[in-house]
Amino acid sequence: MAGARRPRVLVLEDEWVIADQIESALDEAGYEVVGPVGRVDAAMTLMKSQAVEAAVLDINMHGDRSFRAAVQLARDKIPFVFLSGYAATALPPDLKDRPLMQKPIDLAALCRCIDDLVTTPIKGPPAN
Amino acid sequence: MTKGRSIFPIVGIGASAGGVEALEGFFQGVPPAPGLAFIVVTHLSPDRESLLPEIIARYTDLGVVVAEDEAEVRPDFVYVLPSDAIIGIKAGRLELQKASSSRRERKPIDIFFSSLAIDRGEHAAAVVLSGGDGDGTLGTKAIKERGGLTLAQVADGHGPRHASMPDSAISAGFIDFALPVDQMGAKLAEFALMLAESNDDDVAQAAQSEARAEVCAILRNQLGHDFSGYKSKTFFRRVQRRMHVTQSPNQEAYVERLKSDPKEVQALFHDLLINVTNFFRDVDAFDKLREIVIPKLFEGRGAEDSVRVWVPGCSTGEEVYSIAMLLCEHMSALTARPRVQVFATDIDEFGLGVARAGRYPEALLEGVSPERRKRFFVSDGGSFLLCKEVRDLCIFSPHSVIRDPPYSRLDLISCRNLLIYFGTDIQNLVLPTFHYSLREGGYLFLGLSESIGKFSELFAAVDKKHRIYRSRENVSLAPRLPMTIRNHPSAGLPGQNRRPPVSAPGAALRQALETQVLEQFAPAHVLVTREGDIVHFSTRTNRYLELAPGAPTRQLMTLARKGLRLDLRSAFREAVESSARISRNAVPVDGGDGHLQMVDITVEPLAERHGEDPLYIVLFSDRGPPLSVEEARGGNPAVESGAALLLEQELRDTKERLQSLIEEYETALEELRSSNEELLSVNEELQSSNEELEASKEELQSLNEELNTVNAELTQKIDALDRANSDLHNLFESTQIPTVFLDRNLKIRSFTPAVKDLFNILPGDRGRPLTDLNSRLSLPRLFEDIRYVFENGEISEREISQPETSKHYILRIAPYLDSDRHVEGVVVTFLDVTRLAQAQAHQHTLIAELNHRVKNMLMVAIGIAQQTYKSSGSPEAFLEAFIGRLQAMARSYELLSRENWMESSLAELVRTELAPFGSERLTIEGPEVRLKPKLALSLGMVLHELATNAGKYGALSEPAGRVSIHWSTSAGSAGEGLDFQWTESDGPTVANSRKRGFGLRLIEKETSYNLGGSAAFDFRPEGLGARIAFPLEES
Repeated sequence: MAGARRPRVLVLEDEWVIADQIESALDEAGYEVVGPVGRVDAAMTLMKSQAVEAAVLDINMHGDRSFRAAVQLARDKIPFVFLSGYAATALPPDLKDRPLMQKPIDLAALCRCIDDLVTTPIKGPPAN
Repeated sequence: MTKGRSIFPIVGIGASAGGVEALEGFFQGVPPAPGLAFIVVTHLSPDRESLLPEIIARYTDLGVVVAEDEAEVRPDFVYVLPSDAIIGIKAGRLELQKASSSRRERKPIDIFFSSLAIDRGEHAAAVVLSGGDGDGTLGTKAIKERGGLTLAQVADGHGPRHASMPDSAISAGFIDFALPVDQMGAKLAEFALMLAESNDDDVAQAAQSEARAEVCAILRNQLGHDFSGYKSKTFFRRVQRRMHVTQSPNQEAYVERLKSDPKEVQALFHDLLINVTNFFRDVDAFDKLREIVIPKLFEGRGAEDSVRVWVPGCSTGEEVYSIAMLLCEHMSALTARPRVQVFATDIDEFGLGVARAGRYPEALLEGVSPERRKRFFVSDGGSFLLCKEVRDLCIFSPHSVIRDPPYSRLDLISCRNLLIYFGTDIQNLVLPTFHYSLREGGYLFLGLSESIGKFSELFAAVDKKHRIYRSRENVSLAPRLPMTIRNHPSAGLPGQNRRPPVSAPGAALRQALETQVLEQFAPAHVLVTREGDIVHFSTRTNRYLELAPGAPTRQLMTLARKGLRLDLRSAFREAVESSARISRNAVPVDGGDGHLQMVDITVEPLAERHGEDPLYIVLFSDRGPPLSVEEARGGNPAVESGAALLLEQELRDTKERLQSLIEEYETALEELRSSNEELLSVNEELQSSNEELEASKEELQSLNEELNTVNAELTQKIDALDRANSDLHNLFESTQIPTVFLDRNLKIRSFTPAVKDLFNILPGDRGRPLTDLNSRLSLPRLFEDIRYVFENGEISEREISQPETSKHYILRIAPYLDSDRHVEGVVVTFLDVTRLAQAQAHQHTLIAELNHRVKNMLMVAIGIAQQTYKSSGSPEAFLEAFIGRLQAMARSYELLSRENWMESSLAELVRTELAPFGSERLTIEGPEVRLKPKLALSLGMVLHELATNAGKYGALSEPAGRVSIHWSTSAGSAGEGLDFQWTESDGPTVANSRKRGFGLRLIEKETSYNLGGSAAFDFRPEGLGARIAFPLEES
């Protein structure tokens, strides 16, 4: 057992009302929410200081795109899910196969998705 | 003169080119107060103000006025036609019609003359002066026909400058006096005087008929035409006219003049015949022609055949057109119409010119029924124009029925009132010519006072009364040789003069005696022509003449017995040359029975031949009894000697040689004669061809006219083409759409200038293959597409983009079709759709953005619903708070969409959110600030929460409460920031609430999380104070 420590999930969402909903849903599902943050720069800073097991990324952040953060997470082999009002085609080619949930999201489905991300081993060569 | 005032004569004067000079001369010659009125009609161009009245007034004392409509014509005045009108006259008053400028009347003189003729009759005179066409000719005819006087200008020292107008009238035979202009005035004055006097004369009926009988006798004797059947009134009008013209004071004087002057007889004769050429002259005859002849002409003829009609002596064309109208009327009922040709000929070229024009003044249309007028004439100005249907049938050409070879294979010859102008001898030549010209069974139509005379073996009468004849078939006639008319000095009745006069009763006895003496006792003789043809044999010529072998002949030299010929020939020649009696004595003739007969030959011209071909009497008389050869030879045996015998022998040999030479010569002569005859027949053929050529010439002329019309049409079309071409050129130059026209081999046919942006193309590249050119576009499938269009004839379209210039085109390849809808090439068009592509991309972005916003908003709405539900005590409170918040969002959206989702004004946002509370309780102040959409939405929510809170618990829940809203901007490190203050006062006392409601949390969160700023609250007793600060620019 990994003890009492709850898995940590980074949440990027620029609308506080939505961020509130996600936070309380994940909290109930047994996750510790890191953030939520409304700015991509703030998220990048947060990722350097705090280790997380998964992330929820809204794509459009105050006109900015969260792909920078996504690329960084992929490099760190941290699984994540996109939230967006945009269609899947809006994803850049290298992030095409990442999961994406259409807003308005079903919070229960989001929690199940995070469960999957956290429990599924990361593809690619295992880190020694 | 006062007596004649009511019917004084009126003189019409027609002038055209060169007319001003002629008019000057004319009026200089008019004596003062001539008792005449003058009306001057000219061809002046309608757009020229005429100075003619002033010019004329310089040369005459008569009153000169410009003619006006309804003006009464008065003597001793000159009326000048204004330049823009057509003039007529009725009951002594002028009638003016405005001429339309588009359709100028071409024959104003004819129109006025004929109306003058109708109005004034014999009190009219026409003067034709210098001019360049045939106007006036038909007018003078009308004047003359109704008894008026006609004059035309002939050359003297000054003019006419253009003679064709007067010459036309003169040569048509309608002019009484051809004079120089300055002599005309005097002639006209005499004419007026004459008329005035004759008005008083009340010629007794008896005197008239006596004079008439005398005149008729003179005409019959001198010209062989009997006018005794002529209508008395018409006849007298003509005679009276001639009396006026010749200025004979009474009928006796005129009869005297007729007796002494053969020219006057001719002139009267012409006057009597003047109107025989009118349209449908002799209606009954034309009706018969229509009933009997015309249908026969078309019987059994199909569209391939032709009907040929000849009208010799057509004059000014009325007879021709009358017949052509009859033909048209008949043809209109036919389905298959043969080609109809009406050859109209005359020796007078001027008359032909008038006839060709086919334009007649109304006065000459008397014989034309209203139906025919309507059908065949077009009223053009004041005159009537033959319609094309009739005109096209007629072919006019100059031709003399006497001199020129005739037309052939004709179906109808209409020769009315031409023969009466000819003497019997010419008639005798012309009628066989007509027979020759007509095809078998063809018709001949003569005038009422003409007949076929003695040629009843050539023509059979079809309707004798109306002079319709039919050519008999199978009449063998000697081949017709070109005619040469001999001049008979004894004109008149030469045939009858030849008959010996029968005088006394004893003559018969004497004649019998003379005949018997001649037969019994006179020497044998023959009468021969100058050429040696025997025209008369006496009895007993067989001893001197014998029938020669070969074709029968009347040649004296051929018939003469051997031995006679030599001496006969020499004697005959001598007699012909000397016109004296020549004798040859003791010529030995071989009697055929071994005996020789000595014969005396005498040749003597026949007396009293008066210039006709001379004839010669040849007498043969025997000298002594017949001799045996020996007796003859030994005429004198005493001198028989060797030398004499030798000489005689030699002489005989020489004679024989001479004889054979003569025979050779005669053979040669015979050959020459037959060659000559052949030549004559060749000549005849040539003349026939020439004739056909002349006829074709007329056809060619009409064809030429047609070609001219076609050419004019073509010119118009070319103009239209030029315009279209120029439009196309301008379209090419102005269009911004690059277009290339390629032919089947992909060679450039043409292109628009805009193509230069896409290809390295120069104007000189027309004709080069497109494949040779570098394109600035990559067009990988261009040639496959072109091939596809060639194969299928369908339009191909493809979008191409050019990433380097971010330009987008639609490449359209359409088939280039020729007039047969064959694909002759392709039209390649590059439509620039860059802006459309950009707009499409933009639209995609917008739709994605909209999707995002809607979905985000729904998510927010769900979140707000949950939060509101948690903080609400009852469902009613939830509903009110939730709907209030959604409406606040909606108002912000409304504001943004009004501003096109760009930026919205802060002041307006505040006013919108606080609108329900009225403006008098609010103080709103602050600089103009533009908010980005996201900021505006968040701030809108914040304002809604503040206002709702104030309305429920704060200053706005009481009427006296007030809210002051104040904001300012400040420059911070992260860009411009907004400092927004909300201060409530005069409301209920507010306690610092322990539990912050969702409203305040929403404000705090919106401000800190969404706006990246801060919110501070001050719960003062006098009212809530809130301070919200956030950056205006996104970091």
